[in-house]
Amino acid sequence: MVNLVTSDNESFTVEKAVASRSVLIKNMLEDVGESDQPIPLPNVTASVLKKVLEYCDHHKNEPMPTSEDLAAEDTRKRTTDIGEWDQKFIQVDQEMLFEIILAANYLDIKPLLDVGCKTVANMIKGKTPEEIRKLFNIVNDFTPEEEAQIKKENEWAEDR
Amino acid sequence: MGSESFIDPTSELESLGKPVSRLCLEKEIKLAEAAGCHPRELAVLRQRRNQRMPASCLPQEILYSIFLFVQGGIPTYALVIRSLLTLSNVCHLWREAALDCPGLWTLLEPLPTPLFRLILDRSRKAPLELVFNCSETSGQQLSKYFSIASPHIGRWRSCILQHVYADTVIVPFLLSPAPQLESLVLEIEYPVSYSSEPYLHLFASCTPRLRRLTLSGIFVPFSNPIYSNLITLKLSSTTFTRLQSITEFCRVFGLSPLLEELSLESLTFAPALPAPRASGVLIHFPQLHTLRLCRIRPRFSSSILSHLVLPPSAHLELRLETGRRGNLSTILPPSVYHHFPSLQMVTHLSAHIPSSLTFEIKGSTAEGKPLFSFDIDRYGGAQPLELFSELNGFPLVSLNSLSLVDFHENRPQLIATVSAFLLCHPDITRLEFTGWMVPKEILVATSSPPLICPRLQYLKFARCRLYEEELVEIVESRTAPENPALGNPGARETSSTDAGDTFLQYLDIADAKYSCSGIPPTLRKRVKMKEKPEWY
Repeated sequence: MVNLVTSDNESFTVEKAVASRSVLIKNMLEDVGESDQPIPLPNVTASVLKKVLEYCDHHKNEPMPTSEDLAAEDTRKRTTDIGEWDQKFIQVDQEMLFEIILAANYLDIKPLLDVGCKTVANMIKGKTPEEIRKLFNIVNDFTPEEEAQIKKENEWAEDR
Repeated sequence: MGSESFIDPTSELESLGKPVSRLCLEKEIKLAEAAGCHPRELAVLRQRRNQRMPASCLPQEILYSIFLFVQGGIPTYALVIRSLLTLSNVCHLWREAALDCPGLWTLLEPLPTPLFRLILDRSRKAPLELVFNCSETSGQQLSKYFSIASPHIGRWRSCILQHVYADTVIVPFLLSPAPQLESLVLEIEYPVSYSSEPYLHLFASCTPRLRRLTLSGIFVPFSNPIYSNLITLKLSSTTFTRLQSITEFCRVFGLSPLLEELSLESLTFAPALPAPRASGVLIHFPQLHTLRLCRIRPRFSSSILSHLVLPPSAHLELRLETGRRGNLSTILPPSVYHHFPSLQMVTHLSAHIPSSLTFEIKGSTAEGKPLFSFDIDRYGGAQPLELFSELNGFPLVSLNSLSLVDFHENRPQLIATVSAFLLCHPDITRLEFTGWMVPKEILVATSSPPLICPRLQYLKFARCRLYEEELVEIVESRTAPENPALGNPGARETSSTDAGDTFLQYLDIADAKYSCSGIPPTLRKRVKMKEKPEWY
């Protein structure tokens, strides 16, 4: 078993196979060898780690992506298809979604990072800039120079 | 109120936490708007406000990944560009992220020139992918695009040029080294130069990373190293007038020993070119998975085939003519069968005679992996049945399944030819007849074990009319009165090899028409049947 301690000082004891879905933790465990020392995760809160561990537990028996798998990914043919269980898992509020993405990035859990990125991509697809701003509660913050350049780009794009 | 107060970097907002500091900033923005603050200062305030939103906490590399997922699967280039512009028009942070990711901007297709330049600029030093389907682009436009893109030829990763009207438009832009080029498609509709000279120095003979090459309508001289170390080579619609021999032509394939796909289509050679049948020069392709030869005259195609040796798993695909008085061996002489060991791996053979002029034959493994497919136009050559009879000489040593489709031929000759073939392949356990009268003469066993297909277990008829008498005769001659495998309690035990090996087990007539009131019940005790739910 592995003991993980979050930024808000909560402790989680999980199977090694579950914790090792994180390449960061897997490498730490390999570096330190057999040890009872807790592993601090200063960038992850308890509520987020709980979700992350739920994902890791569900996928613990699946093969880890190899470096060849990652290299073979054709960036232009990336699909945003998400498995059924993953879809349900990632149905969380926006703040939690971004926290999960950040945690997956920090803990180096590529499949979870992809699920998060695909979810955001699916939210964005087909929307106008204004609709995207509304979705994420952000405002148009372009400088006048940027606005002028954007206007030109859009005019060029219309001129097809 | 001085404008500096709105953008004071020493603000203590950070200490309040993101939601509270965002609310404070929103209040500050409203005040600034009411005060008629300068738009640039307002923009800075709004940027600080946006930074406090969850969506803005993602680092640039994650935003890049999200943007790539957004791009994935977009069907047209116009929508790709529209999507890229949308992503970079959301907010300052996203714009910075998009513009700092050259990999998003590397695909170049016809666009309004200023936009084409903009995309190219944003790709910075990233490898480029150029795709030009020139059927809708004039030569003048193409020149314009390539005059912009050719100074960046050193970072072209792929270049696809299809339906180029005339080669003179494009060749001048393709004479510099292309050290990053991995994939090249050059399809010229109407070559103007009629000479290989312009292509002698294509890419200054420097394409060290090229692995996939498609050339149509042009001949790049074989002295150009463009043919080296390829994994895919497709040549089509080209006339080779200056070759000394087919051997010289084939030697160029030897420059790519790891070739996985070789496709030769509509190639023309000088009529006087010597095309020896037997060749001492053999080129082995241990990795090849597909060899495709289409529309090449038989004397040249057979000569090409005599030079090439394929691995057992390769798929040999031929779409050729037999030529006048020609036959299958005109194209694939028996002397070269051993170059194609996949023939020996064939377990299922399907022969189709769609018309009196064509003959299609396909061989595959039991799992359905294609190993060869021949689509032969005979034009003055042998009749389809004669072509079929030539298969007797093929080394189909593993064959156990045969499907014959649309054999609308002279019946006595048909029966004789198919019988002769089946006699040569006694291990066949599965037979399918589609679109022709039931060949009772072949299937009724007159001896025990039957002379033809003694191990037949599965028989299928489709797209044909069945008559009770012939069906009963066929089944009774190849089965016991009661088949123990069907669970008939009184069934006699069969001989040493058992019913499962020697007697017909399955009869599939679901796709056939039946000309009587129903299947005789006695047949159901002899074979397992697959039939239509209702008879007509």
